[in-house]
Amino acid sequence: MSHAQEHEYNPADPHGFHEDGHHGHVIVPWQVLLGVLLALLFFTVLTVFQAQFEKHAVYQWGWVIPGWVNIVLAMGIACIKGGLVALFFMQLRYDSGINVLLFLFTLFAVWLFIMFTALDLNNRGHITEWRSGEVISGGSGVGFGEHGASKGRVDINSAAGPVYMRVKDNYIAEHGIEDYEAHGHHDDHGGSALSDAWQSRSHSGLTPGLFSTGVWEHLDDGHGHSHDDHGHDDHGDDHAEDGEHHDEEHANDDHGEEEH
Amino acid sequence: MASIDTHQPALPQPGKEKVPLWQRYTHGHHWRNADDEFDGAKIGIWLFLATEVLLFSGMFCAYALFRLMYPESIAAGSGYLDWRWGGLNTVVLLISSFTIAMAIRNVQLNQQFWARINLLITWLCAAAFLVIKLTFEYIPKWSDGKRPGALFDYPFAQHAHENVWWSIYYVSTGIHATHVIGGMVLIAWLIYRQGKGAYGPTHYTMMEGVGLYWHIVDLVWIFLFPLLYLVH
Repeated sequence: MSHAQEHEYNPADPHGFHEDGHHGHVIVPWQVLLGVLLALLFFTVLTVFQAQFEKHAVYQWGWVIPGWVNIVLAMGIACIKGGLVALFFMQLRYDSGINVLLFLFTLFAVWLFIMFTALDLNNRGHITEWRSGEVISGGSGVGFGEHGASKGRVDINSAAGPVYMRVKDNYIAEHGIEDYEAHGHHDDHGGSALSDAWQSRSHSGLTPGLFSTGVWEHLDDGHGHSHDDHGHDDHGDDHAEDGEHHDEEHANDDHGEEEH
Repeated sequence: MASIDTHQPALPQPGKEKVPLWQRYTHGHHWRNADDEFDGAKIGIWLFLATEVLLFSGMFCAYALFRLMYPESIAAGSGYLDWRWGGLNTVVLLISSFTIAMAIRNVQLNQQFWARINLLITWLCAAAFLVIKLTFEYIPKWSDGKRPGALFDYPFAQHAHENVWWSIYYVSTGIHATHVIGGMVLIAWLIYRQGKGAYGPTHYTMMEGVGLYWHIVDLVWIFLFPLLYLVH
Protein backbone atom coordinates (compact mmCIF):
# COMPACT_ATOMS: atom_id res chain seq x y z
CA MET A 1 0.00 0.00 0.00
CA SER A 2 2.69 2.47 0.94
CA HIS A 3 4.99 1.63 -1.94
CA ALA A 4 3.51 4.41 -4.04
CA GLN A 5 5.01 7.06 -1.81
CA GLU A 6 8.38 5.38 -1.77
CA HIS A 7 8.91 5.90 -5.47
CA GLU A 8 10.02 9.23 -6.71
CA TYR A 9 7.92 11.21 -9.12
CA ASN A 10 8.76 10.44 -12.70
CA PRO A 11 7.57 13.13 -15.15
CA ALA A 12 7.74 10.66 -18.04
CA ASP A 13 5.40 8.33 -16.23
CA PRO A 14 3.27 10.44 -13.89
CA HIS A 15 0.84 7.67 -13.02
CA GLY A 16 3.47 5.08 -12.44
CA PHE A 17 2.07 2.85 -15.14
CA HIS A 18 5.38 1.16 -15.76
CA GLU A 19 6.23 0.47 -12.22
CA ASP A 20 5.53 -2.98 -11.00
CA GLY A 21 3.10 -2.27 -8.23
CA HIS A 22 3.69 -5.31 -6.13
CA HIS A 23 1.48 -4.99 -3.12
CA GLY A 24 2.90 -8.22 -1.82
CA HIS A 25 0.01 -10.65 -1.83
CA VAL A 26 -0.85 -11.80 1.62
CA ILE A 27 0.07 -15.34 2.48
CA VAL A 28 -2.04 -16.32 5.46
CA PRO A 29 0.02 -18.34 7.96
CA TRP A 30 -1.08 -21.94 8.22
CA GLN A 31 -1.43 -21.55 11.98
CA VAL A 32 -4.13 -18.95 11.39
CA LEU A 33 -5.95 -21.15 8.86
CA LEU A 34 -5.83 -24.17 11.16
CA GLY A 35 -6.94 -22.09 14.12
CA VAL A 36 -9.91 -20.81 12.13
CA LEU A 37 -10.84 -24.36 11.12
CA LEU A 38 -10.73 -25.50 14.75
CA ALA A 39 -12.81 -22.51 15.81
CA LEU A 40 -15.36 -23.32 13.11
CA LEU A 41 -15.58 -26.93 14.25
CA PHE A 42 -15.96 -25.78 17.83
CA PHE A 43 -18.82 -23.47 16.93
CA THR A 44 -20.46 -26.25 14.95
CA VAL A 45 -20.42 -28.46 18.03
CA LEU A 46 -21.64 -25.53 20.09
CA THR A 47 -24.64 -24.81 17.90
CA VAL A 48 -25.68 -28.47 17.89
CA PHE A 49 -25.20 -28.62 21.64
CA GLN A 50 -27.25 -25.48 22.11
CA ALA A 51 -30.14 -26.94 20.13
CA GLN A 52 -30.00 -30.30 21.90
CA PHE A 53 -29.65 -28.71 25.30
CA GLU A 54 -32.61 -26.48 24.67
CA LYS A 55 -34.77 -29.46 23.74
CA HIS A 56 -33.58 -31.45 26.73
CA ALA A 57 -34.13 -28.58 29.14
CA VAL A 58 -37.69 -28.12 27.96
CA TYR A 59 -38.80 -31.74 27.89
CA GLN A 60 -36.83 -33.18 30.75
CA TRP A 61 -36.56 -30.29 33.13
CA GLY A 62 -39.62 -28.34 32.10
CA TRP A 63 -37.81 -25.09 31.46
CA VAL A 64 -39.74 -22.34 29.79
CA ILE A 65 -37.69 -20.92 26.95
CA PRO A 66 -39.20 -18.31 24.61
CA GLY A 67 -39.20 -19.26 20.96
CA TRP A 68 -36.88 -16.51 19.76
CA VAL A 69 -34.00 -17.86 21.87
CA ASN A 70 -33.59 -20.77 19.47
CA ILE A 71 -33.28 -18.65 16.33
CA VAL A 72 -31.25 -15.85 17.91
CA LEU A 73 -28.63 -18.21 19.37
CA ALA A 74 -28.44 -20.33 16.22
CA MET A 75 -28.07 -17.31 13.95
CA GLY A 76 -25.64 -15.63 16.34
CA ILE A 77 -23.32 -18.61 16.21
CA ALA A 78 -23.77 -18.89 12.43
CA CYS A 79 -22.82 -15.21 12.06
CA ILE A 80 -19.63 -15.76 14.05
CA LYS A 81 -18.77 -18.74 11.86
CA GLY A 82 -19.60 -16.84 8.68
CA GLY A 83 -17.47 -13.93 9.87
CA LEU A 84 -14.51 -16.22 10.46
CA VAL A 85 -14.83 -17.71 6.97
CA ALA A 86 -15.16 -14.30 5.32
CA LEU A 87 -12.36 -12.66 7.30
CA PHE A 88 -9.72 -15.37 7.16
CA PHE A 89 -10.54 -18.00 4.56
CA MET A 90 -11.78 -15.40 2.10
CA GLN A 91 -9.10 -13.02 3.34
CA LEU A 92 -11.38 -10.01 3.65
CA ARG A 93 -9.30 -9.03 6.66
CA TYR A 94 -6.31 -8.51 4.38
CA ASP A 95 -8.17 -7.47 1.27
CA SER A 96 -8.71 -4.11 -0.35
CA GLY A 97 -11.61 -2.08 0.97
CA ILE A 98 -13.62 -2.24 -2.24
CA ASN A 99 -14.25 -5.97 -1.84
CA VAL A 100 -15.32 -5.54 1.77
CA LEU A 101 -17.64 -2.76 0.72
CA LEU A 102 -19.14 -4.94 -2.00
CA PHE A 103 -19.83 -7.70 0.48
CA LEU A 104 -21.33 -5.42 3.10
CA PHE A 105 -23.57 -3.77 0.54
CA THR A 106 -24.82 -7.19 -0.52
CA LEU A 107 -25.67 -8.04 3.07
CA PHE A 108 -27.51 -4.73 3.31
CA ALA A 109 -29.56 -5.75 0.26
CA VAL A 110 -30.38 -9.08 1.87
CA TRP A 111 -31.62 -7.27 4.95
CA LEU A 112 -33.77 -5.01 2.75
CA PHE A 113 -35.35 -8.01 1.02
CA ILE A 114 -36.30 -9.78 4.21
CA MET A 115 -37.37 -6.66 6.07
CA PHE A 116 -39.65 -5.28 3.38
CA THR A 117 -41.17 -8.65 2.60
CA ALA A 118 -41.94 -9.17 6.27
CA LEU A 119 -43.50 -5.73 6.71
CA ASP A 120 -47.07 -6.88 6.16
CA LEU A 121 -46.77 -10.13 8.10
CA ASN A 122 -49.06 -8.95 10.85
CA ASN A 123 -51.80 -8.03 8.43
CA ARG A 124 -51.83 -11.21 6.39
CA GLY A 125 -54.17 -12.80 8.85
CA HIS A 126 -56.87 -10.31 7.87
CA ILE A 127 -56.49 -11.17 4.22
CA THR A 128 -56.62 -14.87 4.96
CA GLU A 129 -59.73 -14.31 7.00
CA TRP A 130 -61.34 -12.28 4.27
CA ARG A 131 -60.58 -14.91 1.66
CA SER A 132 -61.12 -17.84 3.96
CA GLY A 133 -63.35 -19.55 1.44
CA GLU A 134 -60.59 -19.64 -1.15
CA VAL A 135 -57.39 -20.19 0.80
CA ILE A 136 -56.34 -23.80 1.25
CA SER A 137 -53.68 -24.44 3.83
CA GLY A 138 -50.54 -25.84 2.33
CA GLY A 139 -52.00 -25.58 -1.15
CA SER A 140 -54.36 -27.91 -2.96
CA GLY A 141 -51.92 -29.32 -5.47
CA VAL A 142 -54.81 -29.57 -7.89
CA GLY A 143 -53.92 -29.48 -11.53
CA PHE A 144 -50.34 -30.47 -10.98
CA GLY A 145 -50.56 -33.90 -12.54
CA GLU A 146 -50.47 -37.54 -11.62
CA HIS A 147 -48.08 -37.14 -8.72
CA GLY A 148 -48.24 -37.23 -5.01
CA ALA A 149 -51.38 -35.74 -3.61
CA SER A 150 -53.02 -35.35 -6.99
CA LYS A 151 -52.71 -39.06 -7.70
CA GLY A 152 -55.92 -40.52 -9.00
CA ARG A 153 -58.50 -38.09 -7.83
CA VAL A 154 -58.20 -34.70 -9.42
CA ASP A 155 -61.33 -32.68 -9.75
CA ILE A 156 -60.59 -29.06 -10.39
CA ASN A 157 -64.17 -27.98 -9.86
CA SER A 158 -64.58 -29.46 -6.42
CA ALA A 159 -62.94 -28.14 -3.30
CA ALA A 160 -60.02 -30.50 -3.37
CA GLY A 161 -58.89 -29.81 0.16
CA PRO A 162 -55.32 -29.35 1.33
CA VAL A 163 -52.59 -31.59 -0.01
CA TYR A 164 -51.70 -33.20 3.27
CA MET A 165 -55.28 -34.30 3.93
CA ARG A 166 -55.75 -35.82 0.50
CA VAL A 167 -52.48 -37.71 0.79
CA LYS A 168 -53.70 -39.14 4.06
CA ASP A 169 -57.08 -40.05 2.52
CA ASN A 170 -55.38 -41.74 -0.40
CA TYR A 171 -53.27 -43.77 1.97
CA ILE A 172 -56.22 -44.87 4.06
CA ALA A 173 -58.20 -45.76 0.95
CA GLU A 174 -55.31 -47.86 -0.26
CA HIS A 175 -54.03 -49.51 2.92
CA GLY A 176 -56.91 -49.32 5.32
CA ILE A 177 -57.35 -47.42 8.54
CA GLU A 178 -55.60 -49.97 10.74
CA ASP A 179 -52.42 -49.66 8.75
CA TYR A 180 -52.57 -45.89 9.05
CA GLU A 181 -53.11 -46.08 12.79
CA ALA A 182 -50.15 -48.38 13.15
CA HIS A 183 -47.89 -45.84 11.46
CA GLY A 184 -49.54 -42.73 12.65
CA HIS A 185 -48.24 -42.48 16.18
CA HIS A 186 -44.64 -41.60 15.99
CA ASP A 187 -44.61 -38.47 18.01
CA ASP A 188 -41.68 -39.03 20.28
CA HIS A 189 -41.12 -35.55 21.53
CA GLY A 190 -38.48 -36.38 24.04
CA GLY A 191 -36.14 -37.26 21.22
CA SER A 192 -36.03 -40.81 22.50
CA ALA A 193 -36.17 -42.36 19.07
CA LEU A 194 -34.10 -40.38 16.64
CA SER A 195 -34.57 -40.27 12.93
CA ASP A 196 -32.23 -42.41 10.96
CA ALA A 197 -31.38 -42.46 7.30
CA TRP A 198 -34.26 -44.68 6.28
CA GLN A 199 -37.02 -43.61 8.57
CA SER A 200 -37.25 -40.02 9.60
CA ARG A 201 -39.56 -39.14 12.43
CA SER A 202 -40.61 -35.75 13.47
CA HIS A 203 -39.80 -34.88 17.03
CA SER A 204 -40.75 -31.30 17.03
CA GLY A 205 -43.04 -28.91 18.76
CA LEU A 206 -40.71 -26.99 20.99
CA THR A 207 -41.05 -23.48 19.67
CA PRO A 208 -44.24 -23.09 17.68
CA GLY A 209 -43.99 -19.34 17.36
CA LEU A 210 -41.20 -16.87 17.84
CA PHE A 211 -43.19 -14.88 20.34
CA SER A 212 -45.62 -17.52 21.42
CA THR A 213 -45.65 -19.37 24.67
CA GLY A 214 -48.73 -21.36 23.78
CA VAL A 215 -46.86 -24.64 23.50
CA TRP A 216 -45.97 -24.73 27.15
CA GLU A 217 -49.59 -25.03 28.13
CA HIS A 218 -49.67 -28.43 26.49
CA LEU A 219 -46.57 -29.77 28.17
CA ASP A 220 -48.50 -30.92 31.19
CA ASP A 221 -50.35 -33.65 29.38
CA GLY A 222 -47.10 -35.16 28.33
CA HIS A 223 -47.56 -34.49 24.65
CA GLY A 224 -45.70 -31.35 23.95
CA HIS A 225 -47.79 -29.97 21.16
CA SER A 226 -51.38 -29.32 20.56
CA HIS A 227 -51.87 -31.13 17.30
CA ASP A 228 -51.88 -34.58 18.78
CA ASP A 229 -55.35 -34.00 20.04
CA HIS A 230 -56.95 -34.38 16.67
CA GLY A 231 -55.90 -36.03 13.49
CA HIS A 232 -55.99 -39.57 14.77
CA ASP A 233 -59.52 -39.78 16.01
CA ASP A 234 -61.58 -38.32 13.25
CA HIS A 235 -60.73 -39.87 9.94
CA GLY A 236 -64.13 -41.14 9.09
CA ASP A 237 -65.66 -41.35 5.65
CA ASP A 238 -66.46 -37.69 5.25
CA HIS A 239 -63.01 -36.67 4.21
CA ALA A 240 -63.94 -33.49 2.43
CA GLU A 241 -65.58 -32.08 5.52
CA ASP A 242 -62.78 -33.39 7.65
CA GLY A 243 -60.29 -31.55 5.48
CA GLU A 244 -62.07 -28.26 5.75
CA HIS A 245 -62.33 -28.66 9.44
CA HIS A 246 -58.61 -29.12 9.79
CA ASP A 247 -57.99 -26.31 7.40
CA GLU A 248 -59.82 -23.83 9.57
CA GLU A 249 -58.19 -25.04 12.70
CA HIS A 250 -54.73 -24.66 11.29
CA ALA A 251 -55.50 -21.31 9.81
CA ASN A 252 -56.68 -20.15 13.19
CA ASP A 253 -53.65 -21.55 14.93
CA ASP A 254 -51.25 -19.86 12.58
CA HIS A 255 -53.13 -16.64 12.72
CA GLY A 256 -53.25 -16.70 16.48
CA GLU A 257 -49.53 -17.16 16.81
CA GLU A 258 -48.74 -14.31 14.52
CA GLU A 259 -50.52 -11.89 16.73
CA HIS A 260 -48.57 -12.63 19.85
CA MET B 1 2.40 -10.98 8.02
CA ALA B 2 4.51 -12.96 5.64
CA SER B 3 4.49 -11.57 2.17
CA ILE B 4 6.39 -12.32 -0.95
CA ASP B 5 7.82 -10.29 -3.76
CA THR B 6 5.65 -10.91 -6.77
CA HIS B 7 7.97 -8.96 -8.97
CA GLN B 8 9.22 -11.66 -11.28
CA PRO B 9 10.68 -11.41 -14.74
CA ALA B 10 7.62 -13.07 -16.21
CA LEU B 11 9.00 -13.22 -19.72
CA PRO B 12 8.27 -16.02 -22.13
CA GLN B 13 11.29 -18.22 -22.56
CA PRO B 14 10.46 -20.52 -25.45
CA GLY B 15 13.80 -22.26 -25.47
CA LYS B 16 13.67 -23.50 -21.88
CA GLU B 17 11.14 -26.26 -21.42
CA LYS B 18 11.83 -26.56 -17.71
CA VAL B 19 10.44 -23.14 -16.90
CA PRO B 20 6.99 -23.90 -15.46
CA LEU B 21 3.85 -22.48 -16.97
CA TRP B 22 3.23 -20.06 -14.14
CA GLN B 23 6.61 -18.41 -14.68
CA ARG B 24 6.00 -18.06 -18.37
CA TYR B 25 2.64 -16.39 -17.80
CA THR B 26 2.43 -12.78 -18.88
CA HIS B 27 -0.44 -10.56 -17.89
CA GLY B 28 -2.84 -9.20 -20.49
CA HIS B 29 -1.40 -6.29 -22.44
CA HIS B 30 -4.25 -4.04 -21.31
CA TRP B 31 -3.11 -4.29 -17.71
CA ARG B 32 -0.13 -2.33 -16.52
CA ASN B 33 1.08 -5.19 -14.37
CA ALA B 34 0.13 -8.62 -13.06
CA ASP B 35 -1.09 -7.22 -9.76
CA ASP B 36 -3.65 -4.99 -11.39
CA GLU B 37 -4.83 -7.94 -13.42
CA PHE B 38 -5.13 -10.01 -10.25
CA ASP B 39 -7.02 -7.28 -8.39
CA GLY B 40 -9.36 -6.73 -11.32
CA ALA B 41 -10.12 -10.43 -11.54
CA LYS B 42 -10.73 -10.52 -7.82
CA ILE B 43 -13.24 -7.68 -7.92
CA GLY B 44 -14.99 -9.56 -10.69
CA ILE B 45 -15.20 -12.66 -8.52
CA TRP B 46 -16.51 -10.63 -5.60
CA LEU B 47 -19.21 -9.13 -7.81
CA PHE B 48 -20.18 -12.65 -8.81
CA LEU B 49 -20.23 -13.71 -5.16
CA ALA B 50 -22.52 -10.76 -4.44
CA THR B 51 -25.02 -12.13 -6.95
CA GLU B 52 -24.66 -15.53 -5.32
CA VAL B 53 -25.52 -14.12 -1.92
CA LEU B 54 -28.54 -12.39 -3.43
CA LEU B 55 -29.63 -15.64 -5.09
CA PHE B 56 -29.57 -17.46 -1.77
CA SER B 57 -31.11 -14.52 0.04
CA GLY B 58 -34.30 -15.23 -1.89
CA MET B 59 -34.41 -18.62 -0.21
CA PHE B 60 -33.54 -17.20 3.19
CA CYS B 61 -36.29 -14.65 2.74
CA ALA B 62 -38.82 -17.36 1.92
CA TYR B 63 -37.60 -19.35 4.90
CA ALA B 64 -37.94 -16.41 7.28
CA LEU B 65 -41.46 -15.62 6.18
CA PHE B 66 -42.74 -19.18 6.19
CA ARG B 67 -41.18 -19.81 9.58
CA LEU B 68 -42.95 -16.75 10.93
CA MET B 69 -46.23 -17.71 9.30
CA TYR B 70 -46.26 -21.47 9.89
CA PRO B 71 -43.81 -22.10 12.73
CA GLU B 72 -45.29 -25.46 13.66
CA SER B 73 -45.04 -26.88 10.17
CA ILE B 74 -41.45 -25.69 9.83
CA ALA B 75 -40.54 -27.14 13.20
CA ALA B 76 -42.26 -30.43 12.36
CA GLY B 77 -40.55 -30.59 8.98
CA SER B 78 -37.17 -29.90 10.51
CA GLY B 79 -37.86 -32.69 12.96
CA TYR B 80 -37.75 -35.18 10.08
CA LEU B 81 -34.13 -34.28 9.41
CA ASP B 82 -31.31 -35.87 11.35
CA TRP B 83 -28.89 -33.24 12.62
CA ARG B 84 -26.11 -35.83 12.60
CA TRP B 85 -26.05 -36.00 8.80
CA GLY B 86 -26.29 -32.23 8.53
CA GLY B 87 -23.56 -31.85 11.14
CA LEU B 88 -21.32 -34.35 9.35
CA ASN B 89 -21.81 -32.46 6.10
CA THR B 90 -20.98 -29.20 7.88
CA VAL B 91 -17.71 -30.69 9.12
CA VAL B 92 -16.92 -32.04 5.65
CA LEU B 93 -17.47 -28.63 4.05
CA LEU B 94 -15.48 -26.79 6.73
CA ILE B 95 -12.53 -29.11 6.19
CA SER B 96 -12.73 -28.61 2.44
CA SER B 97 -12.77 -24.85 2.93
CA PHE B 98 -9.64 -25.17 5.04
CA THR B 99 -7.84 -27.38 2.52
CA ILE B 100 -8.52 -25.08 -0.42
CA ALA B 101 -7.24 -22.13 1.59
CA MET B 102 -4.16 -24.22 2.35
CA ALA B 103 -3.80 -25.14 -1.34
CA ILE B 104 -3.69 -21.45 -2.25
CA ARG B 105 -1.08 -20.87 0.41
CA ASN B 106 0.94 -23.82 -0.93
CA VAL B 107 0.83 -22.40 -4.44
CA GLN B 108 1.91 -18.99 -3.18
CA LEU B 109 4.94 -20.68 -1.65
CA ASN B 110 5.46 -22.93 -4.69
CA GLN B 111 4.83 -26.10 -2.67
CA GLN B 112 3.32 -27.86 -5.63
CA PHE B 113 3.06 -31.32 -4.05
CA TRP B 114 1.10 -30.13 -1.05
CA ALA B 115 -1.05 -27.91 -3.20
CA ARG B 116 -2.04 -31.02 -5.13
CA ILE B 117 -2.79 -33.01 -1.97
CA ASN B 118 -4.94 -30.21 -0.58
CA LEU B 119 -6.85 -29.77 -3.84
CA LEU B 120 -7.53 -33.51 -3.97
CA ILE B 121 -8.82 -33.51 -0.38
CA THR B 122 -11.07 -30.56 -1.25
CA TRP B 123 -12.52 -32.42 -4.21
CA LEU B 124 -13.07 -35.58 -2.19
CA CYS B 125 -14.84 -33.61 0.54
CA ALA B 126 -17.16 -32.08 -2.06
CA ALA B 127 -17.93 -35.56 -3.38
CA ALA B 128 -18.50 -36.87 0.14
CA PHE B 129 -20.92 -34.02 0.81
CA LEU B 130 -23.02 -34.95 -2.20
CA VAL B 131 -22.93 -38.68 -1.45
CA ILE B 132 -24.12 -38.09 2.11
CA LYS B 133 -26.80 -35.71 0.93
CA LEU B 134 -28.15 -38.08 -1.70
CA THR B 135 -27.84 -41.39 0.11
CA PHE B 136 -29.04 -40.43 3.55
CA GLU B 137 -31.26 -37.46 2.87
CA TYR B 138 -32.66 -36.86 -0.59
CA ILE B 139 -33.37 -40.46 -1.61
CA PRO B 140 -34.96 -41.76 1.63
CA LYS B 141 -36.97 -38.57 2.12
CA TRP B 142 -38.19 -38.46 -1.43
CA SER B 143 -39.19 -42.12 -1.48
CA ASP B 144 -41.02 -41.59 1.81
CA GLY B 145 -43.26 -39.12 0.03
CA LYS B 146 -41.68 -36.13 1.77
CA ARG B 147 -41.68 -34.01 -1.35
CA PRO B 148 -42.14 -30.33 -2.17
CA GLY B 149 -45.44 -28.64 -2.86
CA ALA B 150 -48.00 -30.58 -4.89
CA LEU B 151 -45.64 -33.56 -5.12
CA PHE B 152 -46.12 -34.11 -1.39
CA ASP B 153 -47.14 -37.72 -0.75
CA TYR B 154 -46.48 -38.39 2.94
CA PRO B 155 -49.68 -39.57 4.61
CA PHE B 156 -48.60 -39.05 8.23
CA ALA B 157 -48.14 -35.30 8.09
CA GLN B 158 -49.12 -33.58 11.31
CA HIS B 159 -49.35 -30.04 10.00
CA ALA B 160 -50.96 -28.42 7.00
CA HIS B 161 -47.87 -26.74 5.62
CA GLU B 162 -45.36 -29.54 5.78
CA ASN B 163 -45.21 -29.58 1.99
CA VAL B 164 -44.22 -25.92 2.12
CA TRP B 165 -41.38 -26.90 4.41
CA TRP B 166 -40.20 -29.54 1.93
CA SER B 167 -40.34 -26.97 -0.86
CA ILE B 168 -38.01 -24.72 1.11
CA TYR B 169 -35.80 -27.65 2.03
CA TYR B 170 -35.40 -29.09 -1.46
CA VAL B 171 -34.99 -25.80 -3.27
CA SER B 172 -32.50 -24.25 -0.86
CA THR B 173 -30.37 -27.38 -0.42
CA GLY B 174 -30.84 -28.17 -4.11
CA ILE B 175 -29.44 -24.82 -5.21
CA HIS B 176 -26.63 -25.32 -2.74
CA ALA B 177 -25.91 -28.86 -3.97
CA THR B 178 -25.85 -27.55 -7.54
CA HIS B 179 -23.16 -25.14 -6.42
CA VAL B 180 -21.23 -28.00 -4.88
CA ILE B 181 -21.36 -29.85 -8.22
CA GLY B 182 -20.16 -26.69 -9.98
CA GLY B 183 -17.37 -26.40 -7.42
CA MET B 184 -16.32 -29.99 -8.08
CA VAL B 185 -15.99 -29.25 -11.79
CA LEU B 186 -13.92 -26.13 -11.07
CA ILE B 187 -11.70 -27.88 -8.53
CA ALA B 188 -11.14 -30.76 -10.96
CA TRP B 189 -10.05 -28.16 -13.49
CA LEU B 190 -7.67 -26.68 -10.91
CA ILE B 191 -6.19 -30.11 -10.24
CA TYR B 192 -5.66 -30.66 -13.96
CA ARG B 193 -4.08 -27.27 -14.54
CA GLN B 194 -2.01 -27.47 -11.40
CA GLY B 195 -0.57 -30.74 -12.68
CA LYS B 196 0.56 -28.83 -15.76
CA GLY B 197 2.36 -26.37 -13.53
CA ALA B 198 0.01 -23.51 -14.30
CA TYR B 199 -0.06 -22.00 -10.81
CA GLY B 200 2.80 -20.55 -8.81
CA PRO B 201 3.77 -17.61 -6.61
CA THR B 202 3.35 -14.99 -9.35
CA HIS B 203 0.24 -16.41 -10.96
CA TYR B 204 -2.60 -18.15 -9.17
CA THR B 205 -5.60 -15.99 -10.10
CA MET B 206 -7.75 -18.97 -11.07
CA MET B 207 -7.08 -20.70 -7.76
CA GLU B 208 -7.90 -17.57 -5.80
CA GLY B 209 -11.19 -17.18 -7.66
CA VAL B 210 -12.29 -20.78 -7.26
CA GLY B 211 -11.22 -20.64 -3.62
CA LEU B 212 -13.44 -17.63 -2.97
CA TYR B 213 -16.34 -19.35 -4.71
CA TRP B 214 -15.83 -22.47 -2.65
CA HIS B 215 -15.79 -20.46 0.57
CA ILE B 216 -19.11 -18.84 -0.27
CA VAL B 217 -20.60 -22.31 -0.82
CA ASP B 218 -19.36 -23.17 2.66
CA LEU B 219 -20.67 -19.88 4.03
CA VAL B 220 -24.17 -20.56 2.73
CA TRP B 221 -24.18 -24.02 4.28
CA ILE B 222 -23.09 -22.54 7.62
CA PHE B 223 -26.42 -20.70 7.65
CA LEU B 224 -28.51 -23.43 6.08
CA PHE B 225 -27.44 -26.04 8.63
CA PRO B 226 -28.91 -24.50 11.79
CA LEU B 227 -31.91 -23.11 9.93
CA LEU B 228 -32.88 -26.48 8.48
CA TYR B 229 -31.61 -29.01 11.02
CA LEU B 230 -31.66 -27.32 14.40
CA VAL B 231 -35.14 -25.81 14.48
CA HIS B 232 -37.41 -27.06 17.20
